[in-house]
Amino acid sequence: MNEKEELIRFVEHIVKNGSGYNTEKSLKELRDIMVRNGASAEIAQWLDGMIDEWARAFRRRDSRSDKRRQGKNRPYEPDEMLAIKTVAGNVENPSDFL
Amino acid sequence: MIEKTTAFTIFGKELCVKNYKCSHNGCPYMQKDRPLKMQLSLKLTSYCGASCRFCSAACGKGIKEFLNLKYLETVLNEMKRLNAVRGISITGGEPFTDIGLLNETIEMIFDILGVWTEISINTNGIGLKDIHKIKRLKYVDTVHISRHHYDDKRNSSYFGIDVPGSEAIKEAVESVYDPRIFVLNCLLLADGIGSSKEMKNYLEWAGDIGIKKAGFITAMPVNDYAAKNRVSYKDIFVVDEAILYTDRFEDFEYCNCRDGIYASSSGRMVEFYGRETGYGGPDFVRGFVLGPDGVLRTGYGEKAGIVADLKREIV
Repeated sequence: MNEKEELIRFVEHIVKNGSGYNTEKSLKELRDIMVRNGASAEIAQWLDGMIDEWARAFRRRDSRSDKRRQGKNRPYEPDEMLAIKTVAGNVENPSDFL
Repeated sequence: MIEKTTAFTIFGKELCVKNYKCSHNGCPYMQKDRPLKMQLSLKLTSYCGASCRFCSAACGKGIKEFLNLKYLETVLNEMKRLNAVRGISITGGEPFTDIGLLNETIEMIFDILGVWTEISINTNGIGLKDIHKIKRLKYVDTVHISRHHYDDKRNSSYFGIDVPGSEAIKEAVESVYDPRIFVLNCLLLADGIGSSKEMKNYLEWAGDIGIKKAGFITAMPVNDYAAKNRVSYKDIFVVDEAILYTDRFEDFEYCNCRDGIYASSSGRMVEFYGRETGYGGPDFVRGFVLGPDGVLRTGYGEKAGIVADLKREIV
């Protein structure tokens, strides 16, 4: 394997084993080390691209799972609706709660 | 074809010195730039509270000799005149034995050569509690901590004294403006860190306590114990998916080193290197050592050539 193939393999290892934003941090750390130790502009750019791409992909995935977690697209359950109505009935701007 | 050595005159003495850059990643050796720069090592004291079985430094718990700053001033001025300082290693014995002297030494180096002079300090670890007593810590490049095992008890057993444990190192790392200042030095030993697996355990531990760089050194066979337990870094630096090997340097048969980056299981990046010195040293000068005896030598130990005996030159 040449230098770049080795780096790709290593980045794949980091991504495969990382979790959440840790991976972005790990890749940034790797980039800093490589640049500090005299990596070529091409390698630095490639790593920058990897970090951006990975961060974008992660945020997309993250925002989808957030929505799922928050249940934004599902209808309210009857007891939730009652709770909302009760709170809303006791405040000046009920729309704040809806 | 490079000229391996060249003449260099210091304190009126003509020496034959190294005239090439180490081979980088298998590339040819290159001629050194001019002016010629060399490493200056300062043995601040002969005293060290530890009693490591593999230690090659002529120091110990016996006589407490300290570097004379008048001699240091003379050497620094001479090297400044020649524009010959590449960097300065402060070593010993244990340099933190006298924190006042350590501070004065650093001040003098910066005053004479400027604050951008590369300075490294070696400690067996006892210096960590005094790390913030170094007034110009921000300008010190690295503090090398000898740490031969990730397990605190096993590490202390190598030194024969209680040296700061993992928590103390972690606290020190978290207390400085840049954690990269700390580098761990681990001597590879068959009864300690002597396999690829143990090396990975060490790097995992180093990452967990916030260390960014560690060195794995092949022991010099200075005695039976060191010879028997000697493990070459080349035998344990194997292909591993969590490791990216980057650079390697060779200095003919004299020494070689290899750099790498380790991705710990928690996602931390730890830089590391391996270094090995050959059995036979070169017959030319690669650096200078000033000791507490006031003698400037071409290397460590009594066998090294004498460049200047400052006790005689300064009255």
